[in-house]
Amino acid sequence: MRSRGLVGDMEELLYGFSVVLTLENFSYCLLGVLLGNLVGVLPGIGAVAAVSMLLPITYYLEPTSAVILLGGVYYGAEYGSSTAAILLNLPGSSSSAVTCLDGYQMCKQGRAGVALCITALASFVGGTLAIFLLMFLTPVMIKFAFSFTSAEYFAAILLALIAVGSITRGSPLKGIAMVGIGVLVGTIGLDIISGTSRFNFGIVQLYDGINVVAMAMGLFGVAEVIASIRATAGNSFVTKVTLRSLIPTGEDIRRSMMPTLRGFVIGGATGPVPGIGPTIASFASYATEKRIAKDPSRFGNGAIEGVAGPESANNAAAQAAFIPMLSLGIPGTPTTALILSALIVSGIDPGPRMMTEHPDIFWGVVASFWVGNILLLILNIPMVGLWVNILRIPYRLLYPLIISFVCIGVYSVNYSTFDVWLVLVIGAVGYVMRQFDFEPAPLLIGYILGPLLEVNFRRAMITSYGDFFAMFQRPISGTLLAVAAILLVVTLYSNFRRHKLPEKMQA
Amino acid sequence: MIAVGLAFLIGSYDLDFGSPEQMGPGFFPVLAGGIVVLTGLGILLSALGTADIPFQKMEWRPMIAIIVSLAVFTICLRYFGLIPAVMGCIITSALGDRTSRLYGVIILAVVGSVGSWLIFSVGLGLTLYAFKGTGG
Repeated sequence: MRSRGLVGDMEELLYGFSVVLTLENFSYCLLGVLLGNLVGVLPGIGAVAAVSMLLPITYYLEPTSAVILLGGVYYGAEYGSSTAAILLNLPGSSSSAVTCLDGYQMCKQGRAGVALCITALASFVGGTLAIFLLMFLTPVMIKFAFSFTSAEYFAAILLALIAVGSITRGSPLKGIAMVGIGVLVGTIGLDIISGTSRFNFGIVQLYDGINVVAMAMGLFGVAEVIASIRATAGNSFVTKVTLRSLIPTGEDIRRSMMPTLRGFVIGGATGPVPGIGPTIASFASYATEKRIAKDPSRFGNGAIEGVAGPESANNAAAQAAFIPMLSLGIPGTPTTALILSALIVSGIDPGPRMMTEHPDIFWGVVASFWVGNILLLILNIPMVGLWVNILRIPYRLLYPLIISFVCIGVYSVNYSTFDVWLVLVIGAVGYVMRQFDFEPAPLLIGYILGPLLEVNFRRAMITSYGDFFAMFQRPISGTLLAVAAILLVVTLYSNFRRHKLPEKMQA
Repeated sequence: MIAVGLAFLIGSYDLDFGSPEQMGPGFFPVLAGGIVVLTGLGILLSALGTADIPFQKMEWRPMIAIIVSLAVFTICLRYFGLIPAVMGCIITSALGDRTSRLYGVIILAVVGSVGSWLIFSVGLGLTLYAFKGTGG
């Protein structure tokens, strides 16, 4: 391997820009952030649903374009979701739930414009700083990952799954149960090693397993729409956002500066950890800001720090979530898991070799993040009026269209009506689960990572001649397994000790 | 109580699932199945311990409307083609919201179906027929 210093990285980055700034990839980037911003703004449809809707289309694209497009949707949604939170007190996605607290108060005080502007700026700063982190940390992780054998992969994936299960909003026990069910659903279909078909219940269409798109659309598209129909009925607002009202005062900017930087630190530190997505990063940032504030009572009454910090944190976390995915091939959030599956479908083996074998993907994607963040800044400050107007469209006109697109999207993957029936079943089950506080995200991640877990487990078993304890003797896999075990024990312990219901959050 | 029922459901569902076929391909699912059964029991136990049920009210109307609309789409697509399928899907799913108005829904159905035909069939070149003879 070449030694890489700062200069080398810059050269690579320039190469990345040459990949993105072709007309084709630039258009995908623009399309991605536009769509992402749009679904982010609209309550009741999130990045996961949007990415899964686009998955069938990306099968026809170059892998680089596919990741640029899907990635754009992912972080674009983080920008957009705060708009609805500020104007409607209704988060466009869960990572902006905390922005409602002070953002909506600012809106009520007639400072909606300032809140929107600061949000966009904080998102930009958090996001772009996190790209630096991505650029410098991923190569380090990759070097580390080259020493990985299947035992280490098994341990790392297991740790990721346990983390995803334990760190949910609801009960960690339910989270782990969801991961387990996801893994089980993932075993449906062909067994990769022996080639036998499993759990197909005699249904021919299940021989290849359950389609990722059907799974994600059912859990996140259909179930989310059902849950949102009632929640969004009769929302309206009268706020006018003029360009002039966007301009923050010097005081606003000064107050937002440090929270934004701290938000980046929190988001950058939590983003790469599986299970801690943008949502938790934003909550952590809000809690931090409130704790260190001189006057905590201002929070909840339109404190600008409570908008800047979390928005910076969730964007930083969204970008940083790409680190484990691009270096190890292990995603930590549902959206990056879907992007990973898009890569697998296009024949790319996501993992440490990807950066050397397909530098165009890695550096192209990194450069596209820069381009995308700049586009989003333009989309969200001078063009914010557009999004405000889109929010005026009532949900009753939108959701039938969303459902139709879901249907067409799922059908077009294999031209199979069976997949649409699957979405129907998964959507119904997903909605019922949601109402019982079972989170869908761990299920989806379990489903995507399950087969990887199994393959690596069985390979590791083969190389160690069936000796389970060999895994604990290797230093890296041993450590990872130990961490996983500790996490599991701590989670279960606190779960049984608390025995109290998790704080009811407004969904 | 309902949570308890669900926990049972998960438990038994996965017990069923976890039954092995052969040692080779069946080994891993049994392991995972066992873990799910255990956590299912755990949820059951902690649900027994609390009187409160983490249960949000089910919204039957939207749920049924959406599910039926998916079914309508599939059936119509098979026998009549894309445009009727999208129209049917939009109309049935719109029934899920009580505030939907007739004219709005009809306009939406027409615009949505023609629009999706233009985007997916013409624009993206997917093989979807706008209209189709029965049995095609």
